[in-house]
Amino acid sequence: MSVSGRTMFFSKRGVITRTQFAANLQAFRKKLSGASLVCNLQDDRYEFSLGLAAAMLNGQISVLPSSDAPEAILASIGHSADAVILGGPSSLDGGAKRITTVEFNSKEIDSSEIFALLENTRTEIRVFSSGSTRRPECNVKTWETLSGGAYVTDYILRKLGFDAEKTIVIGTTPHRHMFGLEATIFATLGFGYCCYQDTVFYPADLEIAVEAARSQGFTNLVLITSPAHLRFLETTILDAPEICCVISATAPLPLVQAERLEAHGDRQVMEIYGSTETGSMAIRRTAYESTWQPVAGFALKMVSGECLVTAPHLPATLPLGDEVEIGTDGKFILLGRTDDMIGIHGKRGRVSALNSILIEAPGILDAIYLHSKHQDDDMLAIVAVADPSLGLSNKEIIASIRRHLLRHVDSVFVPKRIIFLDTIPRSETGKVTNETMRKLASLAGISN
Amino acid sequence: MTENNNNISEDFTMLRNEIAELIVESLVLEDISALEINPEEPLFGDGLSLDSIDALELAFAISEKYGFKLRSDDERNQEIFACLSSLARHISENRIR
Repeated sequence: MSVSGRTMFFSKRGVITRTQFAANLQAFRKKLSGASLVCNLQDDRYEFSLGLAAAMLNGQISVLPSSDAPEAILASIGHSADAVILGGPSSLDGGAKRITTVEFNSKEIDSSEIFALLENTRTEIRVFSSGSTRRPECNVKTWETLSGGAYVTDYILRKLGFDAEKTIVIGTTPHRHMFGLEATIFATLGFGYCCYQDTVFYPADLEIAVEAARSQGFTNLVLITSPAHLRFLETTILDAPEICCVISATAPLPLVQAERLEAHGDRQVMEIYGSTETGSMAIRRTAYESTWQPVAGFALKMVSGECLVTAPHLPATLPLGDEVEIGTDGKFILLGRTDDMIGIHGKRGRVSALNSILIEAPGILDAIYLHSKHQDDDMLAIVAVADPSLGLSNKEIIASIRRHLLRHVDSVFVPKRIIFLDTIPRSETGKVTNETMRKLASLAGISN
Repeated sequence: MTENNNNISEDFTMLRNEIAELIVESLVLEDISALEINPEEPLFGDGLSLDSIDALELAFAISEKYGFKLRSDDERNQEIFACLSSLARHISENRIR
């Protein structure tokens, strides 16, 4: 089979080759003409990649919002006139122009030239992450930075001796999340892997993906996932020997889980460490090593107690949100998140930023986030002081706080536990001391 | 006829209560009891404030207890998870145990 004619995407509905992708890409570029900015909400990874690649080649900025909440989507588009939205819910109609259907044509054209053009694009891809700042945080990426991150996935799979064109990447991690974007979409666009198109979330979805791969004759299946999803997918993975590699990221993978998944057959379980800002940067085989090996040219160094990272494909030196201990061999150990950084279900946010959003919720006089750190997921709660002049019940105020938060942050940062006090003890400067925070956390039942 | 309808309704209420228990237990909701869940209020968002991993946890518990699997390509997913009553209707129509 020629390089250009090989499979690029597949699903239970069939395969799409690289030459068909190239032909459809040329057609789709015309459909996007005139757009100033392309907000890409496509769930299907083929349709998403087509929109992304078309925008990159057209020199149109792509915007990938952090959540499907209309407020998050509109905030990420900003005031751009002539923005186009790809996919997404019908509730977005009436705002920007929305393209929901992507026609597929089985026509083929030589794809080598178009992929060479893509590799040389410098077009911005704005990846938004939630909860890190007052507004969704915009991370500006390009082909170079995202394929630099995808190189880490490619490095793992090449070391395992996998041939890209015969290897399927199946993602449970959403592809607008940095890890999902690099390890499925850019591994496919930039390194020739073959990508499963459909959403894989429930165990039944993975069973359908494995069955579709079997019926197409694929034998090397790589699962791109996170510990939060893996908990529920373990039985399905153990029943599918074709899943010969699991790559997990976004949160620490429990050692016992990695060992269980590696216990039978030749399956390797690898972890990638990275962040939205840096992209994928280091790897380890969890069942055998606790230290992280930086790849893709990443280097770490401590400057004034802060860890800074550099990589050839990153435009600037970046600080890490984690505390690390760097060994003489360049490998490192993760010590934990910095105090202000919380992590839940693989998503990260700054407490200070969450508090600045919380305080604006209607129905309250004061409120603060409480959190306690745990190995996997942190626990969150809110303590609030109701505004008595409104005459609302606590239940109504809780609903009001949650509604307000959901407009601005991902739902993982909206705690189920919200307690009320008459006042929150603050110092003269308005700060809540660590000791008070500990007492409040204990009162809210989230102490560790 | 009236009696039959009452029986169906009673069975449905029992199933709904059972699912409310399942939600509270599987998601370890400590601030609310099964009886306090309003069957018509949203499970996600400003109602019970469940997130996507909660949905995965709940789907797992449902498949263990009622023997059928939820899938992402089911176009009714939003409707199914809208509230306790809609989830109970879906389970009563699809359960195999």
